Amino acid sequence: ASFMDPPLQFIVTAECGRARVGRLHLPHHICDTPMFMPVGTQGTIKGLTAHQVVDLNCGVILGNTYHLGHRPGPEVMKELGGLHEFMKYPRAMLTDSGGFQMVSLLKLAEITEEGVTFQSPHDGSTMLLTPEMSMKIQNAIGADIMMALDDVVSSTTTGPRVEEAMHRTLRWIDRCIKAHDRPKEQNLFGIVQGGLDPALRDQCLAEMIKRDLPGYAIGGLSGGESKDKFWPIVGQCAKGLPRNKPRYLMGVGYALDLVVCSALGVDMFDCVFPTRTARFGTALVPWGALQLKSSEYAMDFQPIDSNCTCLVCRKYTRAYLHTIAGSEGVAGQLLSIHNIGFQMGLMKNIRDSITNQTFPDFVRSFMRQQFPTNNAPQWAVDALREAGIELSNI
Amino acid sequence: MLYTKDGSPPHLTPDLLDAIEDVQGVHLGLQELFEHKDVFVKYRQVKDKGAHDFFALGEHVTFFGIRDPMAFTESPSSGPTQKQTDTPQQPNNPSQSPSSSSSSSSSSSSKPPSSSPLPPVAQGYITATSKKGRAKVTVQDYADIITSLSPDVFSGMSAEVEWRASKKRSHKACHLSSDLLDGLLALLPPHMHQRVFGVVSGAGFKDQRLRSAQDVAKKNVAGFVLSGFDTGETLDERAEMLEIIMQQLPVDKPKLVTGPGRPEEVLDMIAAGVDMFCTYYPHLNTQMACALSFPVSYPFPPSQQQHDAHDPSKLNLRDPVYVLDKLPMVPGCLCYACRTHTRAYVHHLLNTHEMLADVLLT
Repeated sequence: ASFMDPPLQFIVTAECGRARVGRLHLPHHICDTPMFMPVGTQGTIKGLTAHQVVDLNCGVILGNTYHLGHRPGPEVMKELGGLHEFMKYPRAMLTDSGGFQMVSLLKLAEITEEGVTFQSPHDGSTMLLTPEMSMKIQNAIGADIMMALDDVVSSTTTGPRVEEAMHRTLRWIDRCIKAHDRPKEQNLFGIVQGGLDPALRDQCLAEMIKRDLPGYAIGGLSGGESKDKFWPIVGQCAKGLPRNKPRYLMGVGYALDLVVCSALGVDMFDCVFPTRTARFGTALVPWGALQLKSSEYAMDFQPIDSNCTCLVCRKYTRAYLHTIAGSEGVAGQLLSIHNIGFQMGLMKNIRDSITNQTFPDFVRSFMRQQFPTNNAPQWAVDALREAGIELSNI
Repeated sequence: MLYTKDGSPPHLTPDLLDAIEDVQGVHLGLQELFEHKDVFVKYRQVKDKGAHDFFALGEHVTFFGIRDPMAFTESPSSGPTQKQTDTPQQPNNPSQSPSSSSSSSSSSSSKPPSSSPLPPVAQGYITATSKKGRAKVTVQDYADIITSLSPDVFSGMSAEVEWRASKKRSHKACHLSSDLLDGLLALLPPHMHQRVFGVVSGAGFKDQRLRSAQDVAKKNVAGFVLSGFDTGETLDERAEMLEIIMQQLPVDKPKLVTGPGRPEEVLDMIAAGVDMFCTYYPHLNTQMACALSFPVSYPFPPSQQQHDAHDPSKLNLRDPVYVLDKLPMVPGCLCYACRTHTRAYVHHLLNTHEMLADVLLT
């Protein structure tokens, strides 16, 4: 890792409408945005070696503070030199705060002003995660970007809890900033909350920006809310966040969402989707997805995508993948390689077309491939219109 | 020969396989691949390609074997007990369940490549057991899968019996192996004859083994599969039998054994004259979270083990003693996992049930 001061620099190198290409300088790597970040929850992207992840042109990958804080734990992590050294991943990393588990493990979590008490699903032991504790674990992990501990509510929650969570998130960001022990080596990002309420979101945006953090995330979305409530909040937050700092939309990973949200001005995305769906035998392609367990592929001797240059498409047929999809571990590895390659390729196309000022054409051709019978979902049409891109009706 | 499941070495994508320098060949198994026979036949028809392309096996030598190195199961097989007349050709249905082993088969005759009638012995069958169940494999079926996949070398058909099978059962298996080989060669194009390994059967019976070896030694085969080892014999019995067999076989043809994989046993068998091994021993160790660590070159370095181990030939990486251990699994080992990672990391991966543990251990 190079010593950079400050440890993050973000330069917008091209714009096309609200979409922009950026160069993000981090201690371990220089990345191009918009970018997709695969998730390696427990210190590994399931089944893939660190070399394979690099070969796929990944820039930043994610680690999960809650899980790594549990196993192997911050002391062991620190003793072994941090997550980069532990995993031998040479490029950049981002750790989330552990906050998402509040939502996903809600039955096992109790939230107070102090922090979140989790009951481990593995052994029943309890763990109190405070902003200070989250910072400590993340400092031990040593990722280039750390996420503040926020009070996350499910996006389908309504009522006063949403406002309470937004305000607590602001109190917690200040505790995070204070507890962050390595500000010269690691970047702390704040997370904008406020549920689906634009007024709360505006309040949160204003307060977060006052803290002058190196970057910001749009949180609390991608959790089951309807898409037509999702995109206006994304748009509002992207617009409201500073132009010269990276904007990270958490938990977004379907191809359509990546394209639309890039159009709205988002720079960074993460999602377990491509790797998880790989383990269920699904391959992602520009026109949708192939469920390779289906018998329709038993004698299909084409590669997954004849235009794809990944290792899997160069060497294997759909017929072969059908024989192992969902049953052999190596199937998950192969499809993860392809799916991550797919996501990386998509982001590259987004970036190139923004740079070449042909982004609207790219979006239109992408939509035609995904929805050949002119059946694009209304929310996407509306969102793209808001971003200044009209989908031509054929 | 590296163990494969459904054509792929467990947990090794092609780039990872290629990075393991000393692997020269892989084992492809009838048991699990037979259910896909129609796919291979079509692949050959449409693309004129075989196993190397379908399974992306690159430059590796492929051996197509009958017995699954991972599981030994005796399964039904049958040869005819009387002459059969030719019946009109019907398509083989591999998924029908086999009749009991001793009844003579009234299966349809196979379609010969030439117009001459098929010898009656070619109507026997063996069985392939996969996740989907048992399937009958006739000589025609086997010829089809062999010509489609075109492995570099392959076993003749054989009925696997365990060491302590009954004399009668073993005797039948010997005859079947011999008869089916003739039937197979009749169906295969000449250029494939040079790739078949004749099978030496006979379970634990010295006289049967002797006769089987003598019989197959006379045939024009590329090498020999010594079947039925690691099925309950003692090491002494094995050594004795290998000696009897080897005396009958030509020196200049390779001998292959499926089953035993522990390093001491492999060394003993090499000393006895065995050339090729199909074993899942490494995979078994991976499943048990063990890293093999026995020394592989002579002179042996001083023991690298830091802890008392019941078995000095391997490390069980689940042991909490490794939680902070920054050494590679086996210091000095040049594989990707040892050059890149630490015992602590592998221990963590095992602890968190991560697939990468299996990949690195493999």
